[in-house]
Amino acid sequence: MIKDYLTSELVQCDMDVKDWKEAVRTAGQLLVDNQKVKPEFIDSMIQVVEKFGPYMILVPKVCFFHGEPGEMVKEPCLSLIVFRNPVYFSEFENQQINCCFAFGAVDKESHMDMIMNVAKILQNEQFIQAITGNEPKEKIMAIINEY
Amino acid sequence: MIKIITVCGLGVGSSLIMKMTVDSACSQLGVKCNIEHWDMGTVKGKPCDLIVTTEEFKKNFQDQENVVYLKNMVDTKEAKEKLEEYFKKHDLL
Repeated sequence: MIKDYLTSELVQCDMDVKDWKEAVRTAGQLLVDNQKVKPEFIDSMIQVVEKFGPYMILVPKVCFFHGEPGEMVKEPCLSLIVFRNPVYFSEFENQQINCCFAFGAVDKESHMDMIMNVAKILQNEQFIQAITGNEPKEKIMAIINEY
Repeated sequence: MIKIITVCGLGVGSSLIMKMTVDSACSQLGVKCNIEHWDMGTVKGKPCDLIVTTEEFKKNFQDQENVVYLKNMVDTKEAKEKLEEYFKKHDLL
């Protein structure tokens, strides 16, 4: 279930981030602070974007940052931050994002159930509206708790 | 049986999500398929009928015709429309 991963301490709203790298660092730091990943995992997430571009925008305005699976990650994990103002991938095609997830995997498939639930919650229009519209954390957590 | 590969940068997140979306779209279309998910580094040369990836990777597949690009990776409706068009065009339905 998503609620088992996105617990309250791994979700932050109304975050003031100035660019996508700060967004990655903020979402990644939540995972570091909660002992889910090693600090170097944050650099890995940034390198993936630098190498391939922001392909991990799963749904318009919603980014799903992730780094190399493996030993930098202690267990499959997820964090979510919602921005006060959108940020842009100005080095690419100026794609806009209003929130982002940071996702850690230990291997290629053991997070299958989690990802299946991510796909489900991202089809909930109310959820997308809440995380792209900087709505209150209580509202976002209430939807998360249904998944 | 149609063999489909979904592709993203690392082969752990986005490609897995697209695999699920493509799977739902294919069942709705009544198409039997085998779907694998891979990363950009290892996908080249893997035999398949169709590759599904995101618009961001268009530049990586310029020399290939059997590629469908998704804008919203969880939108089964978008995937269904694009796959249906591709399957019809290639007489796979």
